[in-house]
Amino acid sequence: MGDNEKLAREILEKVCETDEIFEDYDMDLVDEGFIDSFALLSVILEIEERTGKKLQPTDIKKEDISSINSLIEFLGNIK
Amino acid sequence: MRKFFKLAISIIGIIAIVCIFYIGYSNYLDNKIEELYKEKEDILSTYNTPLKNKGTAWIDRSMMGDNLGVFGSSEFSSIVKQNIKNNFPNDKYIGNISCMGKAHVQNMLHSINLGANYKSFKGKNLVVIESMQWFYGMEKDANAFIANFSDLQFYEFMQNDLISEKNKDYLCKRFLELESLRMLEVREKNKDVGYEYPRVHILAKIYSSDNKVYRLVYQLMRPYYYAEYKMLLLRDKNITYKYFRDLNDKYDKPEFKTDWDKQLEEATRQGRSACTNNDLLVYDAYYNEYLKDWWDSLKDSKKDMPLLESKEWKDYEFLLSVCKDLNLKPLIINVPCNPRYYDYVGLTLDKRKPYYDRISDIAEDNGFPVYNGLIPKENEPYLFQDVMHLGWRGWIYLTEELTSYFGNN
Amino acid sequence: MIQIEQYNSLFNIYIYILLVIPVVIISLLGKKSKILNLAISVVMLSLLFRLESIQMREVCVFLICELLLIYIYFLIRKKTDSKWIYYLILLISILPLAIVKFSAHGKFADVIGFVGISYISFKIWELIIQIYDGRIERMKFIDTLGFLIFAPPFSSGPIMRYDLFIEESSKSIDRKEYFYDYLVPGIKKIILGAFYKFSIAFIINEYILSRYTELSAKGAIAYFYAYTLYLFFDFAGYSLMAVGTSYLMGIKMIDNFNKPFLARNIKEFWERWHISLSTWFNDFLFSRFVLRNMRNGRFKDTKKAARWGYVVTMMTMGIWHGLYLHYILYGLYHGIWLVLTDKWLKTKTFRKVKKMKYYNLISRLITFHIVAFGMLIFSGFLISI
Repeated sequence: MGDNEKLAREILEKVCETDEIFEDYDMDLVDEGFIDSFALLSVILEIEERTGKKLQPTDIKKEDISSINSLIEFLGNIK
Repeated sequence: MRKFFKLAISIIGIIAIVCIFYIGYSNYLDNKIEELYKEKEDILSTYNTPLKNKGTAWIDRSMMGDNLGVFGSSEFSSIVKQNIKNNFPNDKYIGNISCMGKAHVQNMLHSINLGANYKSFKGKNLVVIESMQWFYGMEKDANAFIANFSDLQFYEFMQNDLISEKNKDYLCKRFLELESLRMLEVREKNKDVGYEYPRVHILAKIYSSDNKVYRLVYQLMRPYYYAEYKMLLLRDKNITYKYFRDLNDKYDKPEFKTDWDKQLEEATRQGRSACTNNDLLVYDAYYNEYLKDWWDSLKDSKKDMPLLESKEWKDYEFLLSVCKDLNLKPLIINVPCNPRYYDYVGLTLDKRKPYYDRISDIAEDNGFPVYNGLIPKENEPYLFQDVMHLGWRGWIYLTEELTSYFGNN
Repeated sequence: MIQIEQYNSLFNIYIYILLVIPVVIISLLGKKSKILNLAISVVMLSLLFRLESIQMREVCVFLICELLLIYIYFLIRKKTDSKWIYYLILLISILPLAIVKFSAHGKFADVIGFVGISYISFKIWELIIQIYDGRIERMKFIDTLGFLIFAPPFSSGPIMRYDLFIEESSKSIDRKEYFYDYLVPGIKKIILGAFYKFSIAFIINEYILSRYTELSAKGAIAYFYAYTLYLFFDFAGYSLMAVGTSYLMGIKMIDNFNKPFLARNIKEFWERWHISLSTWFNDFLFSRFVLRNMRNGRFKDTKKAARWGYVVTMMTMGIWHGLYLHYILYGLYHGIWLVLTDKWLKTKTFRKVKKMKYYNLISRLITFHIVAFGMLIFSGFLISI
């Protein structure tokens, strides 16, 4: 399991408060109601806590965490 | 490509629907208005409202058949029974009467009406009453012009192909002139007020400009002004229809008998009993309100009035020129004024006569018939009801003239 | 009655069409010109404000001052990321709008302020905030000016974002893409917007809202439903025309409304109504409020932070409309409802109810009524009783 994947799983489990989401890495978390705009902020805080990288709300969009795969990709792209 | 066709077709469809709706509703209103006017003609022929003066639908209906169209101003508010609006139809003239105009409506506004509602006036009997008060001073009352101005009629005038470019140009320039006079006054109180008729202003500016770019802009804007004209027209019909429909006043015009001697006798009697408190032979209430307390200050107050230099003369010629374009030949009525008052305020006969002559000469030079018969009668008691407006006998004389002039046509 | 004036008259729309034709032509030839777009915006704005009016002068002064402020801060920021300077600059940029809102109660209400000042302020604040974040590397004058005075959404939004605007206005589009992705959708939006505003909203106003001016049971009920629907069709109609015109000028904007009456709760409502406003407030107020207060430890519980965030954000939105009691109450009303909704969405009852048969229908009806009551507050109708 890659670093980004591990990170993504940790973050999402904390933010969504459930492990239902791991059933499908492409499941649309927004549609299913696991992620809302507030959860986005929690993700930002988690990334900051775990990687030290400080993000602004305008740096990340809902599409970037709409599924586990998109989050993994996003984590790979952060400067 | 298919997407494009779908869009194009839906746009065409929408335009078609709007046009059909417009035409259908317009026709419906036309029919209703005609119906209602026929039913209420007597009372409507005695009413003179801004709705009528600024519109098209009412004027159009009021000119049907052999009806007589009379363009005038404040004399129509005359309080006497002999007011001309009551005197038609009569036993020698079967048409009814349509009075157009009110206080301060002068040559420019009448010209706009003539050009705008040309279709209603074509081939009909028309009369224009010229009043000396229109020619006071160098400039006219710009506020009153704007207050009585009709954008609908202006657009109709500008759309009328029979009217020469020169005349349209004159109208635009005159409008801008009067509008800016008015704005000067209005902006004294509030600097930031906008134009009352901003789109008319723009049209007048781009039409009358010598600038080639502006003429191009005029061509680009024509579709818009056509659309606005059509919308105002429909609105006018709508409001007129509602007005006619909701009018509950009833009036059966008593038939006017053309027994002139009897009418004059009655007129004199009525005039005599109404003018009891003054030597000017104006009705009592008028004297009390307008003359009694100011009498001393009025002496010679109009002595230096430049009657012959007023801009109204150009407007008068403009009216005649527009009538020529439209092939209309209204009878011009040359109305004098109450000499008992005007001699006192300084406009003596030697100053008035050049005015009367000029009105008559300009009309005749341009090939228009003019009725000067009231001028020699100016001293007659009860010709006027006040200092300037026709009264008991004056109206009878005028009615007699119009009946004989048009009754034989 | 709030009436949005920019696309209100046939005359303005006709002139807009004439102005947009040059852009359409050059776009169909595959070209794009920032200068042309700028020139068109300037002409459109001079239709909105008469050239000799006080408003026009205020717009010019305001623009010059704010542009100076932005550029000065842009230069300062290269040297220092001091928070205090940032706050100071932000405060100065808010000052004009604050003055306008305060003077609304006073003698000079008619003279101070111009249409669109509330919306252009959003763009200015965004620029300053993004400069502080270090997210803006270059500020070409033609881009910044073009962004601020872009005319179609000038008077009442939608609120454009700087990055989206730059991307769209710099992108070159070939004729086929322009025709199918910009021209055709743009025309459709304009037509739909015109229909919403001039047919539906107009009819609602003529035949329902104008009739019920005194208070009666029948009147209040009619007003209750009609007003919300009127607001939607008038505002959505305007937004569609603004977005459509923008498309014709080669700039895609995000729509402002997405079937708002299908919202099943107030949270969802704000994702469908006045979308540009709620996303702006979300990105620049709500998120930063929550993040800052979590980072500095004022709130330990993320839920609490978010709920306070909702109230603060909604009340700010209310005040942004104007310093009137009914606007502030409107903000508070929605703030409270967001909090309640947030709590509701996390309950087990919700997860059960969500699966029930008529959940969608009933939740939509309830939400509509909550929204309608809020609009009643917003209209000041209730205060005037």
